[in-house]
Amino acid sequence: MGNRFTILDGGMGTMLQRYGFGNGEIPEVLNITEPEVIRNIHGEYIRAGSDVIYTNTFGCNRFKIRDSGYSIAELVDAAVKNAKEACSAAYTGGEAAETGSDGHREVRVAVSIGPLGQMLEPAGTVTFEEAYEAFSEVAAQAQKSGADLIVIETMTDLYEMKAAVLAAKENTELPVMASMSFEKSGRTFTGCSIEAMAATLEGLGVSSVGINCSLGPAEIYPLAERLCQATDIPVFVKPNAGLPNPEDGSYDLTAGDFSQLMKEYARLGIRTMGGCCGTDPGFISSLKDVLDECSCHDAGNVSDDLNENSDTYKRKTRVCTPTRVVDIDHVTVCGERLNPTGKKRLRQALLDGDMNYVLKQAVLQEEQGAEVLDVNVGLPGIDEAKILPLLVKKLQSVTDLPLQIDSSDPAAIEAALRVYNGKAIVNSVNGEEKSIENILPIVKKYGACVIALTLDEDGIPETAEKRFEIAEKIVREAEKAGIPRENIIADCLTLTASAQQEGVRMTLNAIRRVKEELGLKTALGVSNISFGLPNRPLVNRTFLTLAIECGLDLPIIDPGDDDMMAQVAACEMLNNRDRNAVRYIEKYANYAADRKDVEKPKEEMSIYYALEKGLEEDTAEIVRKMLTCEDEPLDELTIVSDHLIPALDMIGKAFEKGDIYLPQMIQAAAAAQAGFEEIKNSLASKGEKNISLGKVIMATVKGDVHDIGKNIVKVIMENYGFEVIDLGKDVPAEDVLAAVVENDARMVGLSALMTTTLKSMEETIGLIKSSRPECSIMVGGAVLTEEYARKIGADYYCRDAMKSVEAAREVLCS
Amino acid sequence: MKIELPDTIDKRKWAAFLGIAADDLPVGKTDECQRLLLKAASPRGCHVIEDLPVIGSRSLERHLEDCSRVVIMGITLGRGVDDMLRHIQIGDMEMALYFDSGASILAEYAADMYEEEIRKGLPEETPYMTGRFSPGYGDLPLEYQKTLIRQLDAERRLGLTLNENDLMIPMKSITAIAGISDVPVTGHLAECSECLLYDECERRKEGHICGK
Repeated sequence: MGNRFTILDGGMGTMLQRYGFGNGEIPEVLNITEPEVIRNIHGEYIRAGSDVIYTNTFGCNRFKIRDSGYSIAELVDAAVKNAKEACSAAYTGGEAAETGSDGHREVRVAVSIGPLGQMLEPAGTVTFEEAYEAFSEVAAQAQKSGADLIVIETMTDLYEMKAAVLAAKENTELPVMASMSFEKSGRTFTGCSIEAMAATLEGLGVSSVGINCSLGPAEIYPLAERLCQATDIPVFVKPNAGLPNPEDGSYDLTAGDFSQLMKEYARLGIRTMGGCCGTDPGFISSLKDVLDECSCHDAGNVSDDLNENSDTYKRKTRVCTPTRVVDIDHVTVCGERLNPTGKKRLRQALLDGDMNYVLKQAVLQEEQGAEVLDVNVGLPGIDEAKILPLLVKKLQSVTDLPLQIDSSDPAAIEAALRVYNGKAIVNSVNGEEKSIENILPIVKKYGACVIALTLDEDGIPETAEKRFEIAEKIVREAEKAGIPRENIIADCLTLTASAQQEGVRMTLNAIRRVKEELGLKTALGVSNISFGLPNRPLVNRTFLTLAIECGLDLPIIDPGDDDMMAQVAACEMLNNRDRNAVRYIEKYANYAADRKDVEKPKEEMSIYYALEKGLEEDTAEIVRKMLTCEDEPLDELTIVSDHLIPALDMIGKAFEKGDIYLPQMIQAAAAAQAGFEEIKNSLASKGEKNISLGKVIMATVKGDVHDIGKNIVKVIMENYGFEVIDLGKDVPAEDVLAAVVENDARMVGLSALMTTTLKSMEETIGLIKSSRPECSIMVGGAVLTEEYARKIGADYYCRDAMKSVEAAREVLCS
Repeated sequence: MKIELPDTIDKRKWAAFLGIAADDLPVGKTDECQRLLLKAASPRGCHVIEDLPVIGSRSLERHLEDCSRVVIMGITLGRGVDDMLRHIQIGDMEMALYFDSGASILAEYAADMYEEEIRKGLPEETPYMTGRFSPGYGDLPLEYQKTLIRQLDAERRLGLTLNENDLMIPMKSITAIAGISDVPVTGHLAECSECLLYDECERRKEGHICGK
């Protein structure tokens, strides 16, 4: 290559405005109505020195061009043709035919893909799959029309970016450049950090990753520096012409200032750059002049290959979600509680589809100090490939901890990794040929970390030597598959000390060897060690300490186990990784005081009192006592119907009378929930089904994302003994009907907050009534009234949660 | 533009929003809620100055009487608040209720602050500005959000988007129009008779009349 830099183009919108467009019309339509203008703009950039030009397709997606009168295929095709014609005109057009040392300057056409303009789930209503479909149309046409590459730009949502990258990689063979827009803080509007972007996108196999728009070159520089430290794939930048003036929208840098600032990027090893909003061919030509003069010396100490920023990059075992990056460079606790093996309550919740219980376990583990969550839904009667991705989406809507996808079913792993937002861990691959063949390609495709179990066709080897050999084999195969070593975490397997006492040392020795000789991070499920022994906690925490000393990085444990968490905290402090004992002291500064609190004796109190005061612990305690009372234990149904519900009714009456308000009502419901949780535990342990007064399907209608009202009603209904099947928010009418049919439900509750979504409510009611006229429907929401509810065909208008309980009782209990 | 966060959420407004007395707000929970809210919120605003809109809304036309141009503004607390609300709802619905209402108050506060900023920098020839007027108020349909969001370039500048049903996402966001003029103007509140919710409005039936 004659020129060691690759120069991108400048702003398209800026130029369209200059040509007198951009007020009101859809810019992509100009590809067809004003092809000359678009070709001229491309031509100007090519003459200014651009090696890559972006097509005028930034907003070309099914959400934004719906009213344009043209199809995606027509617009993309016209855009690529315009760009290609501009390129060939430049090759033959005299002044533009400036050539490199090889006598030929090749200009490449990149199809630009911008955001859809609507927010994806969970904050918005566009699903990941819909986004994928929308991007696929554009990408497929880009290749068909002969584009050289695809550039996905100005993204602020990592999830949307992932959908676009997958669409481009799966529908084309074109190289993919991917860039996002950040604020000065180094986060996008949706909270995605630079490091999370880098870890996720390099894993997905993009050719280069970058930062564009939003800020000028001076502000982006420190962000680009961080990006170069976070990845070893090529980095590119396309900043704005400085910062905009809010009064007239103009930018504050001249072409000369801009290119002087851009020169600095060469020091970071960045070799690909251009301009975004406010930059024009003058900026690009000035940039080219500056970079042409930029000698190797100015460009810093970089090699000639394309891995320009490899100097500053440090390899790390890193997992992430958009808002949280976890480097496994310390003892990182992976929460084990989202795994139904040996957990009857979770097993029942999964079989019942009670996602709320599962999500609560996730949020609790986060509060208890887990940094990664293991997720496993392997149960007979559960379709893992269907449920695991669903649960991953739900978990990611309530916690930003990275997840460890735990399954032996490759289809389930792939489905879960696909919808996962960020970089996950796969649990697991092992030394069996079949496992290596099935799992490693998936891990590679989605750029995940993977747990390598040191077992194979012959089972778990007895010796440390054999386990080491299996780890070595997996590393070899993984590297062959293109998975870097730092993404492999070895699990040297815990055996039960009571059965195989000599095996304990084998595990520990294997950990030490894979760590020291293979340079791998290590994971271990710890608590199996003590099975069958007295005083299990002592054995568990001692083994944990020994394992940490041998180099354990990722213990898979219950973060609700204070002893184990204490051991981790102490080890981190003693190993000087918890510098100045900051975290240790924070955790234990009030240790003595806390213990006193726990030992305080509790007085007898009534269930009503406990509910009224919102005392969750006490309510649970009272119910436990009733269940286990030595003289006269009560059965679950009696406790619910004679104690919990009557007490709740009294609270409900006080609420109706206006003696208490919604917050206290919810407080009481939360306390009752703690009581019900004891009932559910007790029933689950006997393998019995939960007590239910009847099923109620609840949903916030299609198009509506305001679901707090519906969620309040749900909590209260559940505590009155109704089984609520919560379909969530933004639920299509067909899904509500399907749930009614599947559950043979006689009652549906719908909520809508805005006038614009009342239409959806009416449609949903119409659909249900047309095929299930006997199903009763209650509705609620801020803009609804009794009259309007009747008008759209609802049976009950419920202005608050208590009215919903009354309606459900009337339908289901009489 | 970033909008400075307040140190606290106004407790009186907060209680009023929930329909309870300020003394009845539980101190521990609302303090924790306030801490989470101020951590999650990242309020930003943007605005543009445009010609008077022609949209056939009687209430808006009256609001803009004597004005020569309009300021269109958008304010959002950002995506972090939506994310946090989903998180809190899993563990503690009561807390979620405080958080949700606190966030609505914070959004209003941010809009007030931003409006003040705009007032300070009005063009010399039109130094006076009316109050804010938002879609869904009076007879200005909610669908008008589409036009405002486009004029603001709100997706790019604030990360503020609309879904298919013209609901704003992030949820705690406000868009509004205000008239600017060379003579002092205050604008006009919409009246019941022209309100899109005239038939349904419970407040009107209870005798609370808007406007006038």
